[in-house]
Amino acid sequence: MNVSELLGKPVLDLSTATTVGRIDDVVLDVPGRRLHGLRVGKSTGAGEWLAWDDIKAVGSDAVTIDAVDRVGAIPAELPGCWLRGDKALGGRVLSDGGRELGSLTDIDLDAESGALQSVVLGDRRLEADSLQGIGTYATVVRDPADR
Amino acid sequence: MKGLLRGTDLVGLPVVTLTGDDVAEVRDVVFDAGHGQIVGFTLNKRSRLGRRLKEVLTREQISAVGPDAVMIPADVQLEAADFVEQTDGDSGGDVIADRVITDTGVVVGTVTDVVIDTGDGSIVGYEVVPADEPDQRKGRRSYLPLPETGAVSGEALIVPAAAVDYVSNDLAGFAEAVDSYRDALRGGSR
Repeated sequence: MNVSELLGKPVLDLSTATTVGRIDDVVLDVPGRRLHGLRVGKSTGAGEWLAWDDIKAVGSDAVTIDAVDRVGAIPAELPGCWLRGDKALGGRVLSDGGRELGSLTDIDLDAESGALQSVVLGDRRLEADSLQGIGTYATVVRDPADR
Repeated sequence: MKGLLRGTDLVGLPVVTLTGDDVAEVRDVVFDAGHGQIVGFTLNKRSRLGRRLKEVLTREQISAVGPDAVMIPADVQLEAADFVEQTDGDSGGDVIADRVITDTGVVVGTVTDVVIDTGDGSIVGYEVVPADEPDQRKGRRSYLPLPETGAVSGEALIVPAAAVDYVSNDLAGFAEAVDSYRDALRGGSR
């Protein structure tokens, strides 16, 4: 499952069968190598934050939750930046050797666990453990061997 | 493969932490010509008209120097410092515009830049305007390899006469020239 597929998906509250909002951004926990949470745009809930662990399922057409109170206020402390809001997606990718590798096309996640699977740069895929950080200037990955 | 860059190529490069944030950009590169090493970088603020920062980046703090960025660990604390104290007299600092003379007394040219091996921050050679080059042919540059021990620099920069045989006209072929020159030096001393 790519992050780009997640963006735009409706969040469906299974207890009332209503749409709470649509996912418009995500935060990655880079040291933990997994998806931390999502922002629910135009949310009808108490806030716009949906932690990954509070999701019931990610389907092809919707992300489901079992109650609307799963959606709450955005935490003050986040382990990473907003992939879309901070322009990480589509932004610059640098190797830890200081070489520009291209731009970040997408991030591939495990749909069950939210674990990071690979970092997608155009038609290249880099292993999840090569990711060093996602910052305001660039996404940093370990220098791939093919130079 | 050696990654060779000119000193002036580094000026303006962003200084980026491994977590992906840009903290400064390179204002100037400080060398210790006597030891043939980069001492560090002075920095500018990261903006269009970035002012000079008091903080500097020393060589030990740098994680890697690449063609597109200078990488530093996320936990580096930049500290204000003055590099002048670290270089000693004639051997430190500015070699740009110095004349290069061989130990046999022949002027090779004038230094226009230094060539750095980005792997270890050492100076592997100089970019020179050849002395026999008429002024009207602008832009032609030669690259002169240095022995591993570095050259003596004072009033002029003294290099071994044999270095001239390994002059190369582009940076791409220069890495090989440096290697073969240094190999030849090692072979000769045995």
